Amino acid sequence: MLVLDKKKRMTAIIVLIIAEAVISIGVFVTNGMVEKHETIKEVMKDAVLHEDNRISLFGLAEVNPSLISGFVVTALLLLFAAIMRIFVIPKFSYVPGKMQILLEEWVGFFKKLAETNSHHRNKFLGAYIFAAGSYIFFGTMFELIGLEAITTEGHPISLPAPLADINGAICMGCLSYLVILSGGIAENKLRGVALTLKEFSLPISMSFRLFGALLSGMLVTELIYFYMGLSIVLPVIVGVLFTLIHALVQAYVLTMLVSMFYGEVTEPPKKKEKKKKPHDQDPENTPEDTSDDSDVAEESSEQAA
Amino acid sequence: MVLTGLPLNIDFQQILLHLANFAILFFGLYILLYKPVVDFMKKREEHYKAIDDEAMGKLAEAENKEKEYSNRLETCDAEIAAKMKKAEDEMNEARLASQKAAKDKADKLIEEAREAAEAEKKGILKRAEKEITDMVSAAAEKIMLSDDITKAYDEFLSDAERSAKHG
Repeated sequence: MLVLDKKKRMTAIIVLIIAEAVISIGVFVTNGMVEKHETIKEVMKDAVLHEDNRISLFGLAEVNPSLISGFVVTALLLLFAAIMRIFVIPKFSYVPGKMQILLEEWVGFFKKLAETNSHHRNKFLGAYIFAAGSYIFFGTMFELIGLEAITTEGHPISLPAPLADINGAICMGCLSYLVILSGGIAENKLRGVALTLKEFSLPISMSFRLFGALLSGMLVTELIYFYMGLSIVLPVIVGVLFTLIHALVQAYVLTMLVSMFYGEVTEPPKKKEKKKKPHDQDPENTPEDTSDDSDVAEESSEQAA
Repeated sequence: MVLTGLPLNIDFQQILLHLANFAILFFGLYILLYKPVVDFMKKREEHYKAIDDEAMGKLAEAENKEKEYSNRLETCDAEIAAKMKKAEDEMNEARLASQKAAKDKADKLIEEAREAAEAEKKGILKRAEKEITDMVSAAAEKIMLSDDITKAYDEFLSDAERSAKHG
């Protein structure tokens, strides 16, 4: 731990105060220079509905900014994966280095989650929740970068998280439901379909949970950044910590839910033990056994009813 | 403003675009990152499992050998005890035989000594008898030849004493 003596500590504090003062003055002085083309109401409404700020997708169509964020996140993740595959993974050794530990922990976490929640079938599930969890986490963290894009109306816009768009969230929720359904069909055929359809509300709940969580984070961040007075200290907590926390929580919640439901629908049916008929029982049986038989009879009569 | 018939501006085209985007990400991450890392982890697990199995095999082998050697040691103890008993028996037999032979030899020697002593005794007695006879004959002859009986008698006694002294 770095221990500063009294003089150095005082110097550091004074430098920090001066820097903060200069930045604050700069913020106040330059505040009038930035022209705001929409009110906070319009900003927040657009964050939910994406009616106004749309981006042209190579001139083919006008899409929500979140879709562009999704493409960028995918490109960045694939680039990172390719670099790891070319430069790091071939150098893996039985005594791991720091990067190897990081990659193994990252992959191993989702693999273990899949194996823990779905004992019978988990190979595809592990790969799916690895991709989904990474996409949600890095996609949410992506909004911290503040990468700018130009809307079709010519305004600059900070790219939001890919799943802060209802379309992205619906895609992820429905795809997760389809993955669960496919696992059920592969393992249990029609029974798997029935088990999955039983949870018919799952795609809606997963989609809107993702959308709501990421949208609320984005709205709070937008609200704070909109007002200059709030944008001096608060963004450190709201912008970074909140984003980090809900990125972790949402990635964990979706992957955990998918793996749990997948495990449930891929579980093979338990074989019921054949109940002994009264005349098959040993003559040495105690009278307590007969009471058990009466319970069985009651159960069977209830089932018949 | 772009509005569709669905609430919240849900757009199927964009949902499909998101889906395609995620599918590319899924396959890319699976091929580039997930599979190689999982394969490596599996390989390392198998490597350590093989080492563990080998160690367990060696341990089992060592335990078997230990058991075998302890069995052999127990057998050796029994064997040594049997051999010691046999050697003791043989030694006892040899001792008894040599004792018997010594006794026989001693008995024989005693018998021979007794016989020799008996023969010597007989010879001495015979010689003494002959000497006495000779002395008596000599004395009788002298008496017969001498007048003085007393002198003869004294000479006889003197001769007898002398002969007794000489043995």
